[in-house]
Amino acid sequence: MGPVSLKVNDNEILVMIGPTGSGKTTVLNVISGLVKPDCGSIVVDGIDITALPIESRRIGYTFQNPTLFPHLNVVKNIFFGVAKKRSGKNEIEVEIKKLLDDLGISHLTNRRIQGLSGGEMQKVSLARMLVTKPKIILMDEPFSHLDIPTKRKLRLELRRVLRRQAVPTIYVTHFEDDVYSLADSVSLLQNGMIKYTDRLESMLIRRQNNNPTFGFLSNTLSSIQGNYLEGNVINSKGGLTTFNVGSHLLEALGDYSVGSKIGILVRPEDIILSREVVKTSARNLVKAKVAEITSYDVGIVDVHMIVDAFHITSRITEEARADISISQGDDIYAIFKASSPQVVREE
Amino acid sequence: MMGKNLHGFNLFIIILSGIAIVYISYPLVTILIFVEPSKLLDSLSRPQVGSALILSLVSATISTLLLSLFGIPLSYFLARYKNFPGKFVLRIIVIIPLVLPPLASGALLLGVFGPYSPLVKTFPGVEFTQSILGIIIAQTYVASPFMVLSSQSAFESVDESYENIARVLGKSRFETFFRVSLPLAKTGIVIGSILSWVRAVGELGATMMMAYNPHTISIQIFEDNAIGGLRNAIPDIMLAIILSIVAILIFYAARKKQREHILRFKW
Amino acid sequence: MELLKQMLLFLTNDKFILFAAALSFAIAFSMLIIGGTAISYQQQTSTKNGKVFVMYAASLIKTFETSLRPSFEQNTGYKYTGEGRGSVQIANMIIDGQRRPDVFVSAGTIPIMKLMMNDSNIAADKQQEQLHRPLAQWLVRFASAEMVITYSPISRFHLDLDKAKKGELPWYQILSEPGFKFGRTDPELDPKGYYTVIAAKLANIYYKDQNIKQSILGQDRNPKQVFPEETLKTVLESGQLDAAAAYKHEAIARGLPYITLPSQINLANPAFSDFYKKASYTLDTGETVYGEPIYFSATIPEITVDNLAGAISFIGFLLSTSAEHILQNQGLNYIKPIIEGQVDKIPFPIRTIINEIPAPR
Repeated sequence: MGPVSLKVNDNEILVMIGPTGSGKTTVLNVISGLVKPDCGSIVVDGIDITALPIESRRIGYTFQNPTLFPHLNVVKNIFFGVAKKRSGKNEIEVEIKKLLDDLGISHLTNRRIQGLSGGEMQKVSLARMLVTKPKIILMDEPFSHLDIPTKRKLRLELRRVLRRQAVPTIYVTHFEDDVYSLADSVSLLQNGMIKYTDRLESMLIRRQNNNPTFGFLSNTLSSIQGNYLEGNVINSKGGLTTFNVGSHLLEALGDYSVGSKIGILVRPEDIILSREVVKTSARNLVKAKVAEITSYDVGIVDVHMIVDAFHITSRITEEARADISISQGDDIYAIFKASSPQVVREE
Repeated sequence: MMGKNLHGFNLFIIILSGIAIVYISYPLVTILIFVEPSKLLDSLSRPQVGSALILSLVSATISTLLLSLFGIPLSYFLARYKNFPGKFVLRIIVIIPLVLPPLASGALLLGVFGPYSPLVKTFPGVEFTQSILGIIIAQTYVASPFMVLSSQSAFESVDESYENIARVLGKSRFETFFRVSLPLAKTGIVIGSILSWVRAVGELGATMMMAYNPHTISIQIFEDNAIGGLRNAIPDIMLAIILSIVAILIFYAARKKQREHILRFKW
Repeated sequence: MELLKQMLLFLTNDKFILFAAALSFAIAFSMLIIGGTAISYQQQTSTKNGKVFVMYAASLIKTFETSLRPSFEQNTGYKYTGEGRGSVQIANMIIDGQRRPDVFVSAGTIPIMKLMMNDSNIAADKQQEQLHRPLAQWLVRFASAEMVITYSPISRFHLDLDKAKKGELPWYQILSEPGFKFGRTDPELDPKGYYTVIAAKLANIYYKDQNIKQSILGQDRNPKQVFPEETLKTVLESGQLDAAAAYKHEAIARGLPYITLPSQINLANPAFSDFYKKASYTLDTGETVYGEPIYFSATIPEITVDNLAGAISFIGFLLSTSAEHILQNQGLNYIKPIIEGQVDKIPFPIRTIINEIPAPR
């Protein structure tokens, strides 16, 4: 496979996305040293590490499977990569305690790993890796074995934790929503080669402009397609959060701190269209202009709309579209419930 | 209907198992026929018997330790390094001591360590044959497949990703071997050690060639039988059986622990 | 409590375990080397407390190990180490360089004669001045043995065999019965084996019946009859065999009943030496063994002896009255020692002892 060329900046997360078998894990294996490349070089922090043995590379790498050592308990696992030093012990301890609190696993320290849940194991695996203070972090589909609610919760925390480490991270996945949740930049890997690399914002802009490359991106992935919107939290009370996207006020479920920026995903299937303003139980209604209508599947169409500066897509049956006569250029209202948006990012 | 099927199957298993058990245990009944309780204590308190037993235990222990020292790295090599030219040949070589009749092994070893071999010429002071060293050489050779094959299997069952993650976390190959591979393979290796030890104690054919004297307990049984027939050998045999029972108990305890080990490690 | 915890933590610390394991291996290994060397040096130290390694015909195992050994050790202060095997096998092992005994006691004289004729080519490389010297140069005959038919008291033929013992039935008839299981040792490995074949051939001549040997023994190395020396008696006692060829002293040692054979065929009487010569057996190696009275003989193999003084002491003991009593009790016939081979090569002390022994009492 290859050639592959990647560049990640400090304090940033690159999400490498691609279908199963595209070689994502191999890329990580080469960077970590588990697999030898035929040619090329790896430079971390200005130092060429290509010739270094695995153990000297100061790389953090979590496998898809947490791979916690069965013969050690949680705390021994976490400290496995740390060389015990006499001096500065107390400072290290305080720091680590903070990390464990952050991840929410402080209560697990003396437990055997055999009793942990999937989510707990991934957290321990993460802690074990972070504790070694790596210069670069590699993560291989850490949440693929978890159920969706756990995964979503962990993913939110993950970005927070990774940003605090302030080292470059490469996160490999085949789920598109991981991109929205975690990425600062995105790379698409297909058949062993990088087909596309961009920063997230640029990618979103391109999408708005209907860049065919992005369409290609969406179509190759096995996950849900989503409408990604970002906004600032205005108000959050009683499980309902109001945030503004551009000039529009939208509502989503959950409690988030006022003033923080959140990113949400709304599924195209969840957006209902109406020719007029109607009062429904749905909390969100925005005015939009139909930019284009494309065919998604037999009898199903995607209605691409523009709302102010951003772009959303609704997926309805052809029959429904014809029923209310929606066509390109029309003014239309997009409606969705407060429960539809999935908050994928919070900072 | 289902119940009826199970019943037939149970019967089938029980009958065959029963036959196997009877087959194995019936020879032990012979002991009861031939034993002379009055002479038992006298026979067992002969100094030769005690020293033969101790010699067997000590030499078997040293042999097992030697096998651990050299056999475990070999088994790791066989388990991990798959793309080695001539690997097939190596696998065959490792099994040879298992396949050779012990007397043949003994004769071959004698060729290497016998009084007129080049090895003895290099180390003129050392008695390789007819000595404890000879016993250990014979036992080590014959018991080696048990250690190597068990340990190899144990290492193979250790997922390489554990070793990989240890290295990624900054441990050298040495540290990874001692802190991850070995502990995870521990129970299998222990079982291999026990089997080697038991085989070493029971060893006769090769020992007879390499070191008829000083007598190990197996040779003592052999000689007592030659002198006075089964009656004469029964006390030693009973001693050997008691030893076997103890070894088997330890073996089962270790195996039970291994099963628990494996169950816990499943993701 | 905290201290204990700290200690435990230290003891289970991986580095400590590593260190301990490495240390114990190192100790075990060096013990091995030191032990091996020490033992060998001990064996080469002063002959007074040295050991004497005796290899002897397996039929003598009970005699040697239970009676002769304690007596020898008590009388002389030497330590005895013994190994009993078929005499031919012992000779082969010496020739092949697999064993280096101080004394070789053989059933019959032929195995030792084999050593006397051997050119010791294995020793040639090692000790230049010993080129072309034979492995042994002399032997002394010290006792004679008698062939008998020993049988199992639980054999289904035992009533008939009891009658044969009393002379009421011809033994060879019973042995020829269909289904009779007879056992003997391998004529290629064991003198008793070829003596059995020779005795059977002599029976043909003596009873004037050419079928006897074939009907009792079948082929010379009949796999159904041939057993290793060590297991023969056990197999007999367990009832798997009805009878076996043995020396009288073996049957007595094992407490088994036996049938005495006529002097003309039992290879025990020197008076019938000429008659014995009428039958023979040819070994695979080409040598032909002729019937002769069975003498137990002994030698000190020149090339392989380690403890010469000890070896001399043992042979001297073997020829002494204490040994004589032991051997006779076990069923061996004591004879006036006769020397064969190069008389001048016999160590002086032994020659003296032999000369001083009067004729049989």
